[in-house]
Amino acid sequence: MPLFLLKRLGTLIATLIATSIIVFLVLEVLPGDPALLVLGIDADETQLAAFRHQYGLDQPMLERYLHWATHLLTGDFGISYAYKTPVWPLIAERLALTYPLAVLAMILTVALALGLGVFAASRHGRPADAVVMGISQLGLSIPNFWLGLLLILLFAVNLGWLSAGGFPGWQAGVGKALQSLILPSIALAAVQAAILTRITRSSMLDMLREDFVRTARAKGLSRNAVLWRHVLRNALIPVVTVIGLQFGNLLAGAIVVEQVFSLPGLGRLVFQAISNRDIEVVKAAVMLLAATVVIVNFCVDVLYAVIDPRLKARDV
Amino acid sequence: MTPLLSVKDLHVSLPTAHGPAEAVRGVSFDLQKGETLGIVGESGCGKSMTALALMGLLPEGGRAGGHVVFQGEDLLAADEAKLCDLRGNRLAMIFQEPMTSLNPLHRIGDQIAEPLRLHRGLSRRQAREQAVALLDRVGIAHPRERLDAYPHQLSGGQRQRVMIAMALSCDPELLIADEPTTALDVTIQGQILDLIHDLVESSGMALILISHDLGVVAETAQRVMVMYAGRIVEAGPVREVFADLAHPYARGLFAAIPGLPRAAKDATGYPRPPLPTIPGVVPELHALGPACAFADRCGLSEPRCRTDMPPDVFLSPRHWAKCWRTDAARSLLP
Amino acid sequence: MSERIGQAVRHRSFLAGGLLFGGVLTMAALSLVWTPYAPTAIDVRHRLAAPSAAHWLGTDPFGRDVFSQLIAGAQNSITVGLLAVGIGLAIGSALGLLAAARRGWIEELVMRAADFTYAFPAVLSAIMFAAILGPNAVNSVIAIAIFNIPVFARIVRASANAIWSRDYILAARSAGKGGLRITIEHVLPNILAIILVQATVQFALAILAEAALSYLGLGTQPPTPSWGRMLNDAQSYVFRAPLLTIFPGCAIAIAVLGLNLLGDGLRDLTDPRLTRRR
Repeated sequence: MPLFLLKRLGTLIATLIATSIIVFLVLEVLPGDPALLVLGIDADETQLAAFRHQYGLDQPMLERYLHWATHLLTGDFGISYAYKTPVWPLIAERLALTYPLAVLAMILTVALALGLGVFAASRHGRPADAVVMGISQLGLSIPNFWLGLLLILLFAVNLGWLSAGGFPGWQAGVGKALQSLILPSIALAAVQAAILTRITRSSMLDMLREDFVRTARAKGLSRNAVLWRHVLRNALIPVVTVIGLQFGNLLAGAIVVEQVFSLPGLGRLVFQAISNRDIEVVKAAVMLLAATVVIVNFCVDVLYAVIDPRLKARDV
Repeated sequence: MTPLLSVKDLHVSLPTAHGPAEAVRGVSFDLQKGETLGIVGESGCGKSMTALALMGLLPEGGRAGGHVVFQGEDLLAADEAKLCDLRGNRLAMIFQEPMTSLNPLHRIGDQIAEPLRLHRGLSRRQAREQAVALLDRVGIAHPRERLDAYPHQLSGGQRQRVMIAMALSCDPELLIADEPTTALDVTIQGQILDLIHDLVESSGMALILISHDLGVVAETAQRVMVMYAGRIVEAGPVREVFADLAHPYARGLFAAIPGLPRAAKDATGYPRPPLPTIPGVVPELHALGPACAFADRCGLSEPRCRTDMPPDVFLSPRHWAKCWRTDAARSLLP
Repeated sequence: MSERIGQAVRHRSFLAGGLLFGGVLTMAALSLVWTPYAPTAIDVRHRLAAPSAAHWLGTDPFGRDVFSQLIAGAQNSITVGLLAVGIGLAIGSALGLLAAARRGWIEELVMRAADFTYAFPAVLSAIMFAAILGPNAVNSVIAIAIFNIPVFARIVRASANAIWSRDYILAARSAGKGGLRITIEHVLPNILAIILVQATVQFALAILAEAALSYLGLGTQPPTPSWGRMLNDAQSYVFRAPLLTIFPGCAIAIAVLGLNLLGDGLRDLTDPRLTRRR
């Protein structure tokens, strides 16, 4: 394994540990006494003590953290205060919707942004470029959940093509399930695609000024062939970083858009947990989402090495 | 004999902050099959733009006028598809910066194979075999292993060799080399120049060698053109021109070469500094008048130099200079 | 100075952005002194009324005047956005300036911390804080501010580092000026424009985030009018009164578009390298 990957793996582990400490501190230490929070100020001392004992809250803080963190590694996310059942199955069931939704939106974002970004760059300074830039400027300004509502208005209310929301579940068939994710993923992807289109375009324009573009043209490659074969891959380097960072936004955005389309994803579980003061569930969900973002960004860094051969050499 | 390349009244205008500027203003020359032509001048004199105009690769917004006839075809009138067909195939070019002229993300073998697959329709494997032979031809050791190297793994000289291999891949009839050694270490420059020289001789292709260095041109070319502010100011066979420099600017350039015997006063009449330079700078292109553009920097200039365009003065059947004061210039010590 | 103003007026996106966001600001200011109806006044007899002379943009399911709510909502968006960006800017810039002035392990620590906050998008930290503080406007201010800290820390450190490497800083240092004094006298004035441009863009993002949080019920709580909340209320009536979902969304989009264009314009006008290229 190249040295830079090992280094990056080290950062990944450190980041995950730091994330877990932050989540633990914010959700278990800051609120004060979780027992009081859950049972309310009317609870008497014996009830509180029993609750604390049941959830191991009478242990020292460091011990509690270590207990929580090591159990995370084995897939044990604790016991929900509200449901009195293990947290993991609750979350796993919801992730089966939230992850696919975010991934679908990511695919849409990348496809749309690369296509439009390359197109705009190839028409630099011409009307088509201005149109793409104008649309992306608008896209940047529209909240994803409002776009979701507009899509419902158009496709469900006016045209009646798709249902206004809901999720039949994967057991109803992959096709049906995916169909119900189409509008949500478009709503999610639009804003991110607008950002990524602009970044792709400007990165392409930067690369088009490079000497190797002229070399490729001198070989007899057409403008388009140069664009796709030589410029795009070079232009992707900054684009890929942004894609990694956008995944976090998409995951967080998925939680919002799930509400618009009444999808039973992680979002709904978390909002119920917040109103129930079910901190164990919130803690597990936030930790899981943050960890996903961190791991996706690690994968993006690995992808770098595939795109850019210079990276391997630099650290060795 | 019809020439391989015939350039007539080539003009190139480039967009600048002050509006379009004429970078090349009426360049004409012929090039025979197998002939080597050197173009010299300071940076900004239009020599690179002349080359890019021949290739149809002017920077964005650049426009070329006049005629460039290559094997009976006017390149300036040809459509993009036709030009793509010619470029890298019968017309090839190598550039100044080997460090940035190769695509950093592609293996050099693939970059050399690209024109072969495009123009010759070779398969991946055939193109690869050809690439090995080409790398060998340009003097890269262990060509088969180097095929999978990336540009950053090669030295500057090796990269320029790769550029040359790429340009030669389809046996072009004309090779344009724009300052091919300028960015290289002095020790490597001679090697690369020798390589180009040998390859041109063995393949019989024509070469346009662009350089700011008269020495480089003197060694390699048969004919030389000196450019200043977008115009040819002196042209002729290398031997004749260097033996009898007739344009004050060309004499100034010649004096600026270190290591050549020099007189106490330079061509333009100024006393020589330890390493002579031509006083002043190349004028801004958009500010040029109708007369001699060098007049303001010239030690021999007269009033008419600033008002009337000098004629082409022939000093021999093939050697001419664009100057009112050729006699005065030639009478100075070299 | 007058030349600067002339330039600004001629800059198309600056002008358009200024007009759009200026409109939103005016509405917000207007709502402080006057609204056609009290934004929270319920009138069950006129529920879901269509736009008319009496109710310019119609009424909502509770008979509240949509236009009044909309301009009062602008107030809320701007307040939350200003507070959140202001806090993020103050803390983030201080950290960035400190990192640039001190270098070494402090810089390393600040930057590593900033690097890793990407794991917590605003919505995610809002969820955390809503779980412990309860959902309210303060929660959304804190969540958005936290999201803004690393953004400012990063950009301020990078631009401050560039200033620190200049010669006149060396001169100031050899004259015996301390890090704090150099930061205040030389570094900060030189990077103010960059901070301002970034703040404009972050303001736009903050308005989007606030709307999302209010929509989710994690931010501003009823009866305080807010655009996100209005969209949440409108959602159940999307079949019966589709216009209710249109107006608040347009308001958000206009405010955000205006700020984005303003930011683009400011960037061009304050960066001499870019103005020439345009």
